[in-house]
Amino acid sequence: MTTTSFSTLRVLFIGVKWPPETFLARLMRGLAERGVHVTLTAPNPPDVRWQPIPNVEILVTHSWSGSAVARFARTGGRLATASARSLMETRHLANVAREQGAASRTIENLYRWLPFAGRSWDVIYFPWNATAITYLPLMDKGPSVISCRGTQVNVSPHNPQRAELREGLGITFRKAAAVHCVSEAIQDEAIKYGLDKAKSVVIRPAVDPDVFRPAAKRESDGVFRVISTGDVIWRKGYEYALAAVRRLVDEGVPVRYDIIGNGVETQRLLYTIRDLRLENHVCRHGRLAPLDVLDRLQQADAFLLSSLSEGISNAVLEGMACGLPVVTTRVGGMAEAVTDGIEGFLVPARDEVAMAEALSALWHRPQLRERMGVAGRERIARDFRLSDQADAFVRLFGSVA
Amino acid sequence: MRLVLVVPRFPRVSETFIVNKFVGLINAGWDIHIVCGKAALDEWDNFPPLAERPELKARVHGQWRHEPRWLALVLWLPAFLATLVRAPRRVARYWRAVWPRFGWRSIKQFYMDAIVVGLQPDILHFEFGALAVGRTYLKAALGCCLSVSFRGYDISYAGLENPDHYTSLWKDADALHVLGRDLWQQVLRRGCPPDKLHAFIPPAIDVNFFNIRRSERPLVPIDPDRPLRILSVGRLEWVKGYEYSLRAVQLLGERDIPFEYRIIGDGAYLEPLTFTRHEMGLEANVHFLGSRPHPDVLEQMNWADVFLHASVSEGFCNAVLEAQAMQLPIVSSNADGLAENVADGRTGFIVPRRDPAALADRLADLADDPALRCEMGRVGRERVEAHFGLPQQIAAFDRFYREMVTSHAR
Repeated sequence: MTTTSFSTLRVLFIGVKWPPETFLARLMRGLAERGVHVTLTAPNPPDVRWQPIPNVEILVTHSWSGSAVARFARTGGRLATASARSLMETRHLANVAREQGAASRTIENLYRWLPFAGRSWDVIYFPWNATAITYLPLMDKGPSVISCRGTQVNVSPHNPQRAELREGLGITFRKAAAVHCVSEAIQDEAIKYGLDKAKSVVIRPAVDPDVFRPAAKRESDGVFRVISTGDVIWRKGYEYALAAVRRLVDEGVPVRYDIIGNGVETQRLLYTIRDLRLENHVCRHGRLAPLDVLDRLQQADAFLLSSLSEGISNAVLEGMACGLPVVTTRVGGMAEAVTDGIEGFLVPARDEVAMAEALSALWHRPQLRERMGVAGRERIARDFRLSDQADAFVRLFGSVA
Repeated sequence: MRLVLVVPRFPRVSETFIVNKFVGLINAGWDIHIVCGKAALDEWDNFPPLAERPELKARVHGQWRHEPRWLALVLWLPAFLATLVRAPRRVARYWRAVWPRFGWRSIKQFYMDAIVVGLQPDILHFEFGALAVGRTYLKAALGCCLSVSFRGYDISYAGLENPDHYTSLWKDADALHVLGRDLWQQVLRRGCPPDKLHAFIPPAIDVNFFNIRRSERPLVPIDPDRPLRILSVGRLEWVKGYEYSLRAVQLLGERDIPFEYRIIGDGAYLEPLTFTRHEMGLEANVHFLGSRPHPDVLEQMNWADVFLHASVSEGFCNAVLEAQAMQLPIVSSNADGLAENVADGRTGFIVPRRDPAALADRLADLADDPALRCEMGRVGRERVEAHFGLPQQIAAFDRFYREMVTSHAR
């Protein structure tokens, strides 16, 4: 049981998928340890797989699904309970839903917003830009904080079919009390859509160096093990990574490339592996449990990130914590994590030649690999500490509350 | 002879070749029916060969509805009775063949197959390999010949995660149709026995619909006032390799060759591609026109100087054929059937796939040489007329089906 006092900061996390992404769960833990009271929404009462975090309260809000009758009934129920808590706010939300037009979405939007009517928090935190747009009227309830993490700022606004997002970014940036950016690069992007730099804060992601650590002892077996972890989606640029691996093979490097991840472009990946005749050099693992990912990282010689766009890649940070030298494209905030020639190499996006050259250099110079790996691990311990990240978030939330 | 063609949807703009095959074979005297997941008869009049033949609508059959589920339950008995009345002996044969195989699942299976059973085909033809997977038992259940077309994605990457994806198809099909020799190599690579009866029948187009407005393209030099006009037509998907064509035109720009690049097509890749365009600073000279009706596509082909096609995987590509009929020189990758589609050095240039620098070199060659563009366009048109005309294709299908029936009888 938790007691709430005036000194306790109460933060609502909204729009988190269930179960929460690892990095968000870690952040919540960090906040909870520092005495922040976090409220989290879940579509169903959590089952046994959810390990409760002290100080984290779960608000169950069923998602907008099921038959029309069920949705209608649940909306009615929400209206009643929300009105009982605060008639005024419920009325206000209903008005906003009506004004927002798009007749078909009116009820759905209202349904989403109602569970929060008549409840209050010190800070409302939107971990994604898109959820801030979806839950826009909740930003009137009190100070709010939005995170800019990647695609929703770097990529989607360029899509002519996403005008709603493009405009929504500007509106939500104006309304937010503060905006968190995962890298300076994404901060610069967000400024193009109306973010006021004065109210934005860069807090880079963090990794746990006690979990992600180099293997105790590794013996070289004469194979150059390159690894990538990340969803199999276009943004990760795997086609260029495979083209680079093809070049290494042609050069005579005994390379083995492990890809850990799953996604909508699995067929593309399989096709390209086959088309480039890399079946004997590439091993596709699909999604693995965290411990198995760690195990694979510890067996690797180099980490490769071929992305076309990134906020800042957690996967690279984890690789660095495991003492791996990194070859990464110079996209988004990657240059803020890797200095070319120190912890690894930065190469232009879509440039398989440069990627292959960097990997080749690592293969031919084991001491370089060693040195860059050590430098990477030190960099993580210095600049990407979990405790710094959590402290920074507590300061950020405290400053707006 | 009754021939039943199975397609996902009919008629469909991106599958105009099926429209042409359907009408062509009917004119050649075949008794053809089409079974599709969804019959889009309201689009009938958008297809010139169909518009003048409304009576053919009776030969197009949508499946019994299976969404929502309860509707399928209600319609099961009517479907059964309707089929029983039309084809009592085939229904009996169907159940004898299917029950031992599927047990109670046969009830659901029958509902999905009812239309085909009722049509009593002599030949059942799946127009895409992927459609035939898991349905080759129909050959025994209907006592008919079974043939399958492989057109590209179905053999290049569908089901690659499962080595046995097509195993029963190789066993059951009486004959295979592939668009070209390259695709046949891929069929073999995926385990088809080399002695399987097969035919290479490339796509065809009705050249009468592809008339360039000017008798010959003017010999215009390229300068900043008259940039090189580049056109691509095709769905916005990863297979089409647009990332490489965008990089190629970026390289053109770096060489100070003025250009305007238009892309016709729609798809899930709009976001990646608009992002790439932005990253490459190409917003001013690259335009996504979205999906366009056929007359607009022809209009754009009239506008263009060069047709660019950077696919990483491609069955054969009708758009490239159409562009040649419109006397456009082609710059294309060597994916699958494209090297058979385009005569390298005569109707266009073929370069390795995933090689934007090579694409850019060839575009630059064409930008420098208006006479070469005209000459390649002229030869392209002649070649399409000679090798990819509809009459030749229909005759080839006619032979293909006759040969299959004869060898099946043996």
